[in-house]
Amino acid sequence: MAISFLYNFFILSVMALTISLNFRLSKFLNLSLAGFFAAGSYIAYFYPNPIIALLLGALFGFGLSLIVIKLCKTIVEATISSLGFGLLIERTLYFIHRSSYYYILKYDMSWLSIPATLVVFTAIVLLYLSKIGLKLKFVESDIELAEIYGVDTTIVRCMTIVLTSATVTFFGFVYASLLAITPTVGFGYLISGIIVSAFAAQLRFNGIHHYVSVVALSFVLTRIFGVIL
Amino acid sequence: MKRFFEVAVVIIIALASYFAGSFYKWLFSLMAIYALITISWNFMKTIGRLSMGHALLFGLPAYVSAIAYQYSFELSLYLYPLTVVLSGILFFIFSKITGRTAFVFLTLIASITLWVLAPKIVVEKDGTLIGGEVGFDFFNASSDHIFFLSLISLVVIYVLASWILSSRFGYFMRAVGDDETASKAVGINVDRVKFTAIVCSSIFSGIAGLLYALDFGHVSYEVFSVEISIFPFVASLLSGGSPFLSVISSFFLVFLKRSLNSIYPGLMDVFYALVLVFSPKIGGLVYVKGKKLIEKL
Repeated sequence: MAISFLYNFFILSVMALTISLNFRLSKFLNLSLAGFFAAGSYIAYFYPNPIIALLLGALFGFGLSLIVIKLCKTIVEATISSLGFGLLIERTLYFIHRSSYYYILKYDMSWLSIPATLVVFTAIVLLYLSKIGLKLKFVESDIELAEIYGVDTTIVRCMTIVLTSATVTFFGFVYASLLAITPTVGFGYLISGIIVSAFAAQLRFNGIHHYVSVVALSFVLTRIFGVIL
Repeated sequence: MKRFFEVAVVIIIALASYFAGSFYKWLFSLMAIYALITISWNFMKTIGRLSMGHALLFGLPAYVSAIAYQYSFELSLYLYPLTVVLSGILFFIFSKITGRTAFVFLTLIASITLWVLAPKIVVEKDGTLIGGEVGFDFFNASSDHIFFLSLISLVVIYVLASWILSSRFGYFMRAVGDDETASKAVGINVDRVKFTAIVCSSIFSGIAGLLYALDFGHVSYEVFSVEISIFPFVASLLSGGSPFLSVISSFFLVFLKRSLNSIYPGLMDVFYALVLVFSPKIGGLVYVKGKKLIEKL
């Protein structure tokens, strides 16, 4: 029971954190994360190597960042493109692997979620406490002004998308043994993450305080509802 | 005259489908149902609200009616119009509490939430659990009935929507779509315009949902799918913003779906996804070129 609570809390907080990071730094609602999560789960079934999950997540994240940065002018355009990108991953998985459900019975990688979540939390804290943190806070509050003052916002946006995509793909890999793997496996977590992220945004914190509130809200919501969706 | 020509084109396509055989007759019904969703979506877009969750307006009344149908036909009849209006009110509340950008997100998230939650809904009937991923049985109409019902609904709603948009109220809708603050300043009751437009849009989509349920005699969680939510966006994108061409592009998309999926199941979804990914480019290209073409014609 306690283990199940921790697993739900970890995935919810990581999903909410990555959604928040994308919204605040890359300036769009990244709806492709459900697709990345599903891709990670399929990688766990067919090529059980976490490095492959991380690399492929980063590679496809880079592709998404090119589309968002080069083609999309507004937040709505970027969000719709990201939805298309997520659906493209999901549909391609369905297209290639016609079976409805896959189950991993031979091994269990879910224990990896504990160190992986701690690494994500620590990385965000260290990033915001370092010199880069000031630039990130600048981009969060006003991206145009940040650019005028010399912050390379393209790099910030691109790196955010690449790193969050890789993270979510990795978590899809880690959680695969706990789930029935289908192309739509990530949508429930995505929606739950968006809800947590939207609640946290109402608190109007900036920088690291916002991300701490995301983690705290994830904890409270998991405690109240268990798996939200 | 222009409207007469447009209706004539739709009727010619319908008649050609009717005489081409039972498959094409059924396919036309489906085309008309999806075209109704596109009309409803375009109608809401006029007030400046881009919905990416039209599957909720389309699917919720039919889904609730199908659940009620398990217990009594009368209950299903009462709940259908009630849910149509309540869905419209929900979207109106969304439009009140959010700006234009957040409205896109909220509608999409609401419809995806239903899509994720609906497979978990089960009800007990005669000691047996029904629903879940399988869905609920519904009243099944004959293919002839569905064909004529969908054709009549399409023609009536298309003419009605066009008439409203070219009326005084339609100008108010456009004004609200362009600038809500300026519309208020010139004395337009913005809330009333938005409410009426959204409820009308909900009714149009609700009718499409009912026809869909009657056509298949079954309603599952798939009525809330992302595919249905993005369909009117894609149809409108490919038509360059013209209401009539968006109906034709809806026909084309449904036809293309059948053709591509018969080559390989799921191929059409890949097409949808690609259109969404490159929508910022496609939209601009089709809109500019399409406008020039329409001006030439």
